[in-house]
Amino acid sequence: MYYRSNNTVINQPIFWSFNGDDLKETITYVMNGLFGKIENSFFGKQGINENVVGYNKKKYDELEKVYSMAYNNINSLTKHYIVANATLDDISKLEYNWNDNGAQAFSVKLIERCRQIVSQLVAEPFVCPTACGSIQFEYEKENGEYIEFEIYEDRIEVYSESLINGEEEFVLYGITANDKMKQMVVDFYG
Amino acid sequence: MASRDWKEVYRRVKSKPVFMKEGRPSSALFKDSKGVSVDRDAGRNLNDIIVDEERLHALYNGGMNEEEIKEKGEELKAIISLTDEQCDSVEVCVIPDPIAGENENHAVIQKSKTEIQLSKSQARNLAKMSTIVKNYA
Repeated sequence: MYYRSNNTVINQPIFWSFNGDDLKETITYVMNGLFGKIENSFFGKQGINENVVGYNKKKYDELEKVYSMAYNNINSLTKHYIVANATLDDISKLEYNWNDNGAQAFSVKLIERCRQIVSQLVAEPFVCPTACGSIQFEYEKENGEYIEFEIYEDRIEVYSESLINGEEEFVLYGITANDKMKQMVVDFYG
Repeated sequence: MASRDWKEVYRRVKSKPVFMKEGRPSSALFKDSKGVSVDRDAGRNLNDIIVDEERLHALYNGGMNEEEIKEKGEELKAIISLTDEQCDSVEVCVIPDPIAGENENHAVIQKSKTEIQLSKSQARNLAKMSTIVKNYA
């Protein structure tokens, strides 16, 4: 559950709810339909009929496991951002001098920190590297409001532009930095 | 104070890593602890500048054929420009930095004469103001 700074509960951003939930609902509907058909081929109106010709308990149990795994994966779709993760893969492969100006490669520790953060964000960020040793996550709205996070191994530098507060800049340190960043993304869309 | 021999500066953008978001450059393109590498127009026309930027791109990818360049994502994505006025408006410093025998028009954009790395606000504003002079598919 995510909260605004004033502790009121917030839903997911509208654009994500539309894509993610619709996809999840559609896949679940299809899976339920398929599974129902398989069940009907084995079950009579009175329930399980293990005496039906062709019934194979082992196969049925396997199917149930597959269904269960698929369902769990569908539920985790809300945190699996394909583009952001692919970009992190690309960034992890960058070698020294990737910008033709002596930029360093990125550490495994930093990449893993970014992967962990990205899996818990309520909206997919635009991800790109900087030649300062950080990985940048960006969000921008059509009204011009903007927030960027420069993630380092030991800190997260934040820069934002909002209609109310104008430009703001500060640094998040310590073990709560990731959670604070996640909450800021929630507030940005709140 | 020596007069400026440029009205605009140009920067190449490669396909990978991805710095273009919905057709516009990210502020990350202007974040470099060694200064932001650009090229001065030095009185040249746009056509000559683009040809020279493509030459420099090929030079820095020496040894790779077209297919290898594409595979590594090293192909050009865009060339962007910033005017002198735009640079002045965010108070960055353009310092000529010719590379002998390679690129006489090279320069670096710095935060100030003594500080190299741009502030986040400067990087963001340069990204917003920059013009895409050539977009490669």
